[in-house]
Amino acid sequence: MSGLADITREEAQARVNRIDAFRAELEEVERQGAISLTDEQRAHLHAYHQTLLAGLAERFEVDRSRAESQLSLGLRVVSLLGAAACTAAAVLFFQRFWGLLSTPVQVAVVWIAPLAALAGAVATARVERTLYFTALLSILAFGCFVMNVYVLGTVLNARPSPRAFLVWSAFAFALAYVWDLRLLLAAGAICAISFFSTSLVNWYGLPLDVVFERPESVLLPAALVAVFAQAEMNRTRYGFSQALRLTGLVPLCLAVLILSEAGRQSQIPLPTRTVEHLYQLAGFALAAGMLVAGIRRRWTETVNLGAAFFGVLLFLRYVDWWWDVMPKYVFFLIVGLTAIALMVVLQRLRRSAGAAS
Amino acid sequence: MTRRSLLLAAALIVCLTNAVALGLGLLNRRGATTEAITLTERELPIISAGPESTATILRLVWTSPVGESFPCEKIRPLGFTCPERPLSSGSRELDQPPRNGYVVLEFDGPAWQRVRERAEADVAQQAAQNPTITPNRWWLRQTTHLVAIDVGGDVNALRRTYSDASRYLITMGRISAHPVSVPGPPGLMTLNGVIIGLLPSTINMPLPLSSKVREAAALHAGIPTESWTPRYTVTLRYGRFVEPWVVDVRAN
Repeated sequence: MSGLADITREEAQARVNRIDAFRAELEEVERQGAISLTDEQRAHLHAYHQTLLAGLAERFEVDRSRAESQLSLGLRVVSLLGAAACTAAAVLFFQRFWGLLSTPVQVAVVWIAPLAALAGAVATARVERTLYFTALLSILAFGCFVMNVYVLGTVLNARPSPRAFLVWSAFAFALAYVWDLRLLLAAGAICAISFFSTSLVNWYGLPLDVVFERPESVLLPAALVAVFAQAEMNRTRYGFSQALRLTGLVPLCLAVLILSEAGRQSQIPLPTRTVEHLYQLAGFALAAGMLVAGIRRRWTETVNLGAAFFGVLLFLRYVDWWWDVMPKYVFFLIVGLTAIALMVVLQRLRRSAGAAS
Repeated sequence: MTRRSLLLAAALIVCLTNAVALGLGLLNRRGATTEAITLTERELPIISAGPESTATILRLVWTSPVGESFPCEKIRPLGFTCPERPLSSGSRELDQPPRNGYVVLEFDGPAWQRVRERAEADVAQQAAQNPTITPNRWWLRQTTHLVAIDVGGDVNALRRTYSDASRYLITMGRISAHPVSVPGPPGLMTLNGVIIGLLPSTINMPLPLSSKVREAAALHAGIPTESWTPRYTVTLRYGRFVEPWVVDVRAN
């Protein structure tokens, strides 16, 4: 089993899936008469695969069948729901008894809660290989830490501060990189974007919630998250690059979309219509960039997001140009024809990508 | 970074955050330069934090003289751009986001007298117009005596101007620039400042003061609105970072 010394669980699962596909294809090829293995060769191959699968199953608890794979997906969903429910229970429990506790006890309880959940995650990580319970307890630790900072702010009658997002982000990132948890990675990235954008509006003397009226404050941090997705530390972890790219590109697209429709929310000292036109152009350029980069580098999620963003931008432009000047059936006919044209283009791109590979 | 160092970092983030927040809270209280102000239930009523919550939270209630707002020159130091001349209503300069600034609230002073006189005059006018209606003056007993009188960007300058801390409460607030019509051709507007909220707007009541407040509120719970009087007084202090805390509670 050379080459399996330092692989991750996801890589092990990918190997199992390849073996499964290879066996099915070999069976089909033999049935068609394209190739014929001797009994000895077949026995050797079977023994090799069985040893490999047993080793991987023992080391990584990989799914060896479709049923196991479906149960794993169910476990992931239940783990997420369990984490959300446990966090809600912790918050509501504290709220129920808050008024009965003195201030030092309140502070001690909310301080200890995330540390206790973290200790629980460390303990479960030692005994399980699939990390479902570890993920649940890590998300609970993050939820408790959010509650911790919120309660401290309430107890001290403090004003809202962007720094809360910074510490939440750092905590979520630390846990995400310890156990390769994509959900906490996304939470950390969202908190990091929130920290930079709220700091920017706070620096200008604006209240934190004004960030929703100043979408430009999101552009730079969201783009930086999308760039950070390509860092070595993320490319070597399964699904980290995809998760970070999506977490960065979705707010980036939303901010450009809002500015292309509501130029008044921009800080650029130009007439509103000019600002909207600039952001409309920027939106199409961004969508095209996402499509090109996604196809070239085989980033499926980026291609899907780029295509969806392009479609929304185009639909909004059609509404602006034609909604009031033509019958509605003609309008939707044009939208439908555009969708067909886009399908043709994407199909050609798909064919050329297939030929190149 | 290794797994162990990341876990240590996560634990350290939790501990440092708590230590720094508590340190800043202590610094806020140690560095308080102003005296305490005593307000009543009218200014600090208990608010519900949900049916399952046992927390005792007070809301700081204030008012502004009806129809009065701050001229644009007054709010310019907060970062607002004041138009050089009146602008048409669709102008982009008239659409500015709210900003943070410091707000001066006067307690039970001349500003409140003006608010009360205006309200009583309105009630009298309504009664004169429709004699069948019996004017209700009970709400004057319940309405807050805390009136916004000034705004500024420098808290120390405001503290020097309004040095009587037992009468003037200085806190951070949200100030909005609202377009208002100017005399002359129709459609021309300028900006005026309006306070739209306080930061913080609620105050947490710790034990044992929260028990005293709840006991006082429960003691006279059944009295009719006509003879309503505040059931408790709360003494507040604002610290170095203009963040408040409750010093004392007394039942009336």
